[in-house]
Amino acid sequence: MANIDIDLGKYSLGWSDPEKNVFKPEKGLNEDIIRKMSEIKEEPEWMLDFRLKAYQRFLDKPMPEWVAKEKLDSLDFDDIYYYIKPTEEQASSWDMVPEEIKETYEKLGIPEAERSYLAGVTAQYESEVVYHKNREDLEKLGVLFCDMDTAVREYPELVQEYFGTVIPPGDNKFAALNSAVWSGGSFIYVPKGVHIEDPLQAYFRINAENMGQFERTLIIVDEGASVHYIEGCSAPVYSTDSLHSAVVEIVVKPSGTCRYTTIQNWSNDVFNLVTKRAQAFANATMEWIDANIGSSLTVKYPSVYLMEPGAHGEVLSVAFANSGQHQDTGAKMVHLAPDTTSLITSKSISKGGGRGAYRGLVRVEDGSETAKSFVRCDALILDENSRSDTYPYMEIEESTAEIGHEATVSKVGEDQLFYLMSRGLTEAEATSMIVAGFVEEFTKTLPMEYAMEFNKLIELNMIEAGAIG
Amino acid sequence: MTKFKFSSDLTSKSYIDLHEVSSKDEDWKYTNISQFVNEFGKQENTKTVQEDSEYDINFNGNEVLSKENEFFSISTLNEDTEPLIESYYNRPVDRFLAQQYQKCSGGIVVNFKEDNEDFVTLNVQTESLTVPYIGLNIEANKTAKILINFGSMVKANTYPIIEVLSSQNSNLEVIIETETKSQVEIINSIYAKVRKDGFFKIHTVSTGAEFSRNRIDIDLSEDGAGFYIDGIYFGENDQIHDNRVFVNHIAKRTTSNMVTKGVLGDSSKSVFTGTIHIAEGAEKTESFQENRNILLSDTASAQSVPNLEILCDDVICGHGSSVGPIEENLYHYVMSRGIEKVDAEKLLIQGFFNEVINEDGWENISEKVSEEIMQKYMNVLSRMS
Repeated sequence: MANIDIDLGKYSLGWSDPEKNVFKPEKGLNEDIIRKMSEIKEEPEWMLDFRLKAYQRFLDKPMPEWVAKEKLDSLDFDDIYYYIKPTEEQASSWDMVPEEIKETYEKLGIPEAERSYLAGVTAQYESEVVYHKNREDLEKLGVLFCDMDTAVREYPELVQEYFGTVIPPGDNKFAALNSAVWSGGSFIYVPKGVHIEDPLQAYFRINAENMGQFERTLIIVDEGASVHYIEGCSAPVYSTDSLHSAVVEIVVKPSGTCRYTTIQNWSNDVFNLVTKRAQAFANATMEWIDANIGSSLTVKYPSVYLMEPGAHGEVLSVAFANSGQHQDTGAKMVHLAPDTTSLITSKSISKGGGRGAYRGLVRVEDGSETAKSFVRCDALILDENSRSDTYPYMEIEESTAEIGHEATVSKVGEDQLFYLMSRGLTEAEATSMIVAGFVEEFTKTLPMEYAMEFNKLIELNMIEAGAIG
Repeated sequence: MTKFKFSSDLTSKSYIDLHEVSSKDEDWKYTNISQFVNEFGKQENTKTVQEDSEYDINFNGNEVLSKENEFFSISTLNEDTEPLIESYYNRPVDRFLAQQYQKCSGGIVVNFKEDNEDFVTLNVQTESLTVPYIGLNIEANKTAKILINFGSMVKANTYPIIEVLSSQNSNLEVIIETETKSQVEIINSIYAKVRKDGFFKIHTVSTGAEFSRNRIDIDLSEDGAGFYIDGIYFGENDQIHDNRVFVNHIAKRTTSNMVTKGVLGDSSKSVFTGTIHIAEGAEKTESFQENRNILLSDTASAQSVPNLEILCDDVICGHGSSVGPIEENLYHYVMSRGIEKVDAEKLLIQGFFNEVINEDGWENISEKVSEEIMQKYMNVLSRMS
């Protein structure tokens, strides 16, 4: 097969607007910046305390050595803005959003998303949530859906009870960094027995060059409730590295259900180092649906701690590693109680010298009787320069647990290509179609609009190259 | 202490310059190293390493008295012996491995020069801490077999270095049997370089020792080279059986296949880490690995990490691993034929291992291994009731 290459300069979502910010501190991080940030946000004392302690943890923790060492070594923590507040007030209706920010969203199709979904939309532009609207009937049901900063001010008790409990600040260096400088992100509380039919969604964008974005999301699904949250990311192309280091904490109480869908499409200079973890209690279900297409380096292993009997965790992960990209993604399932079950499905595609990796852990603690877990990893390598790695850790302390793992790595089958090309498709079209089929398991979990956007992204990654190949 | 010549990859730096191995090292992650190799690991510890290991060598049922016959020649490692392996591809060197090479207590090099259909048996004998070297060199177009046994004559911690050089179109089969009843550590560092169209096959049996570890690094360095490993382990009491296999597919049309299976009773533990590394340009490579574990008791555990690193597109590669009790439907099948549960379990465990030990190359030892396994199984069972 011809060597397929893609010019990321043509990246369709890669534009940037002239910067216009109200508060813009210096690059780099110190205690003063954290205090200032906390003051501007009018945060309670405990949050400042939390930030400062986390900052100390961040300084103490060494850089991880086991993943993408070269790329991580090039990261300069002093060359990043840690907090920017783009507009003075939060907009509560679309009209109040500044014109240039609006233009950015127009290009991304946010208004359409709003029209067709009528669900709450939280859009994050730089560090603060600038646009936010809750569907009225959600409010009537008692659902809380707002940005994290507002939640700290308005629901301090609820936030304080859960904030930092699923992912403690000392968990890893990047979670510590986020805990120190977090800004924005979503807060969702779904009361007992409430089912939210349509997905809630937020769109994230990074704008300023070298802008670090550290959103913090906390979702609490109370007993018997359910929610589907969609996070889609897209960022303009810049030449120097941007750092994105989010923390997402989710608590799913007994019999609750939570699905968290991510389509990550940062431009190819972003470092995306994210910690995502959920706790699932008795008979609860937690599903992470995670697609990674963009970024220079993504390090992300969504995890589910199965805390009580009957809890179920699922991760469906899709990663597309193109030229210059390293997608180090995977999943972690920690079984802590009897009758817990988990399923991990990973699909990775490497192309144009990209490196896709599945790194996962299934841990079954002693006493998690009849726990069951299955891990399936499939990888597709599209040319001879690309790389695919699989690192599936299995640590089993319980004799009645049934754990399985299967993986395959292959290229696009000659027979499949022949079949499609004999029907008049070009090689590039045929390959693109095979790739779309390879990730269909993921695409079909998405709402129609997102599925179309996702297929478009895959096509962009594949077909554009066809002109060369 | 005699200094031997080994590849400078391993001797250029003193092991003291390397950091002490700990569970933070990927390669020792699941082994609480402080419990084990410390007497070897500490720099200040000058505990004498036994010089000149002893070997009892048998061939065709007779003790080998002369070091030379028509099939092979055996020479003792001395300071003038040229290194069997000059360089390694990407071999991960940690302090423990470097130390083995620098503290080597002597050994032998077996040179296979004619086809031998019968296994040469090498019984290793140790009385105190020993780091023996066993070099195996097989000449082009030849077929040879050797069984290296760490049996009842191993009475102290033994950290052997085994190096294999497989020449063009050769075929070497090695059995490594760790069955000593002594509460000792046997940590094998095995390396093989397989040349064009050569084939290296290894069978491992780990039933003895308190801690047994086979660290196997394979370089399939020329086109058409092949590697096959099948192994079994059975843990009882606090035994740890650790198998680490790193296969580097460096050249085109190389093949590898790994199957390891084990049963863990009492508080025993198994570790399997297999890494298949397919280098750029190693096209038409086929590689598979499989690791299956059965846990018999609450306190037994298994860690399984079958890794793939693939830098080439035209490959067929897959792996599978599992940990769990014996499947219910298998019990159902056997018990529906009127067999009691206890007997059914025994049959199923036998069957589980038979998939390995009924294969080619096991003929000489399968009966003995099968008996040993059943004995261990009965031991575990008696402690459970």
